[in-house]
Amino acid sequence: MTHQEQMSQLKEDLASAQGVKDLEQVRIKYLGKKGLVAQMYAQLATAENSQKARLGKEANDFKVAATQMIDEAANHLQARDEGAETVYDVSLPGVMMRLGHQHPISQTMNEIVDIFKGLGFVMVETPELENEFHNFTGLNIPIDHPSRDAFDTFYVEKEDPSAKGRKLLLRSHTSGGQVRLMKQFKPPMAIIIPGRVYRPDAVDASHSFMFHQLEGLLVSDKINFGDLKGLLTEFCRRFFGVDVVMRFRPHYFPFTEPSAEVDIGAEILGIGKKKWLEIMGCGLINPKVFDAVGYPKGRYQGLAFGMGIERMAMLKHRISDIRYFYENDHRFLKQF
Amino acid sequence: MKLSLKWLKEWVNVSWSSTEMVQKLTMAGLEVEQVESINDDTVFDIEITPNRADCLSMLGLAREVAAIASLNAKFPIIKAPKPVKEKVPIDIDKKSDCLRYGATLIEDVTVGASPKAVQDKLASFGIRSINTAVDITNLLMIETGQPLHVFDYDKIVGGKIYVRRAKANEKIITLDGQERKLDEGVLIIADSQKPIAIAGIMGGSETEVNGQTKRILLEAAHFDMAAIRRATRKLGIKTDASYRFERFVDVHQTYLVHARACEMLLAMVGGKVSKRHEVNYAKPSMAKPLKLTEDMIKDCLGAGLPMRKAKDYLSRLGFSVRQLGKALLVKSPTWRYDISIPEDLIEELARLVGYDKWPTTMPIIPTQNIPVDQTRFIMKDKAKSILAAFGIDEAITISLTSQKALSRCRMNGDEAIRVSNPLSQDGEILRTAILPTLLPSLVLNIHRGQKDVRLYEWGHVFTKQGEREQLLVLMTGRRHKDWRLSRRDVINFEDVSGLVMNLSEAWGVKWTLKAKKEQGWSEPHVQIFHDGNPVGGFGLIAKDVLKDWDLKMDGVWGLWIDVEAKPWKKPSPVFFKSLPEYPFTQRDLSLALPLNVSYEDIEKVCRTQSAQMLKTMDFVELYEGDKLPPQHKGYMVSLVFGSDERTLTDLEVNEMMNRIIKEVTLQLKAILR
Repeated sequence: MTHQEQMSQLKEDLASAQGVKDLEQVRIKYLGKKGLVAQMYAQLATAENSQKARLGKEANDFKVAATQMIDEAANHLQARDEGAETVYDVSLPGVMMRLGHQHPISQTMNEIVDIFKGLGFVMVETPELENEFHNFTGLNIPIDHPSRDAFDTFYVEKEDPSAKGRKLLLRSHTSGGQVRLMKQFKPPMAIIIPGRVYRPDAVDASHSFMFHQLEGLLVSDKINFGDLKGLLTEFCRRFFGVDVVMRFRPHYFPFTEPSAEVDIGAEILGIGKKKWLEIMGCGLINPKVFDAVGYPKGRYQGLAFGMGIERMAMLKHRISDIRYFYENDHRFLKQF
Repeated sequence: MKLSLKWLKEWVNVSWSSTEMVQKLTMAGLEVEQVESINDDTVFDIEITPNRADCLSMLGLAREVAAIASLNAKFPIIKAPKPVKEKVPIDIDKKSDCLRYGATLIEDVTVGASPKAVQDKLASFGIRSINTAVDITNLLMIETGQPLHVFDYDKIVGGKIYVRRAKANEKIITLDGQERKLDEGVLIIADSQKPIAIAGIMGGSETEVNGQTKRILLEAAHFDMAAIRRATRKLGIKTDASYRFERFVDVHQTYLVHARACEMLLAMVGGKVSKRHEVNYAKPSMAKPLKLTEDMIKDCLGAGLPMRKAKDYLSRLGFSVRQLGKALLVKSPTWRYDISIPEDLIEELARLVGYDKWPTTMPIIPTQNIPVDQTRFIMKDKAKSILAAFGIDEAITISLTSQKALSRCRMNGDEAIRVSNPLSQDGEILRTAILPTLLPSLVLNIHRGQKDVRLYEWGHVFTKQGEREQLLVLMTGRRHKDWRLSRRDVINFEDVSGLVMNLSEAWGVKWTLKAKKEQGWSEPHVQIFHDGNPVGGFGLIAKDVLKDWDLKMDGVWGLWIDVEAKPWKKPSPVFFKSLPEYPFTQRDLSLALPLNVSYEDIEKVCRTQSAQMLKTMDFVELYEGDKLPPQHKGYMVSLVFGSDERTLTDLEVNEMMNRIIKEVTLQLKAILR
């Protein structure tokens, strides 16, 4: 065949190539080890010397032209394939990272801690295994006093090294931390003490014998009742929302005077039943507590407050049973 | 304590609606929990705080309402009783047990049913009408807060009253028909033979007053608070009377209530007073008057209150107030045992004015605060981020556990701290580690169908070294859920050790790991050391331990760290290190090694032989195929060499590689692959 005829044949072959496989066959036919171009080069060996240059050039030209045409055809095929409808299912789930969940109690605690940190408080943790002085006596709660009823306690079989014959106990509230820290440090101080507390209450949907509290303490030269209201109002606004309705209701704690409980209007939580929900206790620190920790009479003033974290979490997230918190069922934890 | 509106109106002309009443009482500190309609009465159920036992009476509550409403109260006038020559014989064993005992003997009585008015009054308080005599004791207890009792005098053997502690094994059948065994701690009223009442708590059925009673002995007494509390706890009885005695009964009012009771009884049951006696050991009230100024109020509440207003409020509450210049001298009435410092008075004023009426301000938070090291919290946050990234959920479990749980974890409970008053066996000891309390959560999840469970708890444990903070991680199941990431792979040793590496890196330290056998864990169990001290461990929980916990599976990995040991480096400012100026050279090293050679061993050789020029060494691959000589494993590591001063030449690098190869071959018997 002449060079012309070979080119036409190539063009024909390329035109009838349906896809990648066909094209590959064409490539092999012309450019393969035993392909046409290879044959052409083979013929050179047996050609007459005078023809060698011409035949050689023809072979080269053809190889170049054929290569170019086959490559172009390949590109066209690819472009055609890409332009054609390749269906992607973009809704196919991706590979997600499995991320661990922080416990809702920790989350609620962190939220509350962050609010007070933002107001200048520093966080401190105090021991869960406490003694009677810190948990009761220092807080103006004498042994054998009826007000102790509210603070029913777990005692342990371990002697209090600081009080012969008395046993240690699992703290019934974080308020003991106030006594510890005031004994250890001099004012001014703005402290929050989060942690576990224990009370031998019968366990039901809203009571657990172990739960979490957060205690707050602000002691300096001048703190008054208005400051107490202002601080806790600010906290409630930040935690529940600026529209929170709240009230300070007179109450009693042996370690604060005047004392109050903070109620928030149930509407903001979308809870129907009761109108007011009690969320924390607070008050100005009773001078008797200052006496117990050795501060000079009348020198300092302070405020203190305490709230139950399980309660806050259950109100905020509408959790129906406190026991879910300690089961740690993944189906519960992953919701938060 | 309940408040009967109908009864209240006998004394205080209050015109509030029910809703207003609830609001005003609650906001004055007497929280109304419930409102009921009983017959034609409205009854408010109020929560009385421990400091206001004086409000466990209608008188106390009426005083409060009068003070809140600024009204005058018209309380019943009590006439002094006519003197009686003959005394009721009374013997009080220990003065401190009974500071006051008043007894009146009324003869020729007729005990019957109470008139409807009395029955209705009692009904408002949920008290059943018994008969005229008993009803009066209940009525006056509600009215004044002073519990009373009536005995059938003819049933009192010897006619003499003994107030003493019970003897061991003494018994009594109480009014409710129950036989009770007494002991030396219980205070009783006795006749010459036996106990006839548990003092201040409940009367005996034998001396009960009924329709056949001809002679009534009325008791108006005061008993020691602590003795009553001990008895109620020991015997497991709680009555309206004991409730009051446990909290507060005003010993200085007892004789007045005694007189009133006599009057009312005579009117109801007829008869004549034949004997009376009042034993009094109570010392007169020595309450010091408290000084109160407007400045003191301002200092505490943020605003002042005119002294005449303060005087008004306090007077209505029963305080005697005298003006002394610009100050007030306030003397507490005998029933206000809760008042001892001026702040107590200021609280009274604060709540009567209304807590919402005082200014609300923002406190000045001091810029100087107490020095508390926050490192622990910073490290906790870092760890929590890593744990979350590893897909581990945070758990919180109850810190109390049982000996059974400890032994199921192969832990020794001998030194565990025992709870003196546990609620159940499950909470009999303080946990010495988190494993016995967290493992049940893992088990719960598996039993509920979760196959891949990852939990951690960061909490306190109670060891013989004291209370310590600990971190425990438990993991089991597939590495990945997704089929594209070979979901058949399960969590294995390298996942846990990788987590350990992430944690140590975040905490700025490098821990040493040593294989060590441990009870309750399979091999390999690893002990973690920080600065030469053991600070934790990790490994596979032993299969037999899992079996004890009802898990028929394997592959639960645990990691625990004694956070209390502070196995971290205190964070310090991070200073920028210049990026390397000269390019590094990387070489692979593929070795066949005897099984006992460790990665650490190889690293040591590489470092020693590269004179500071080995920048990093990474583990690339582990090979265990058959192309290795027997009893050998294959490691491939990647070594990166570099210098801060110049580009290392191929020659230099080759030289280092040769030295390394020579030494690993010599020292570690490694074979180059």
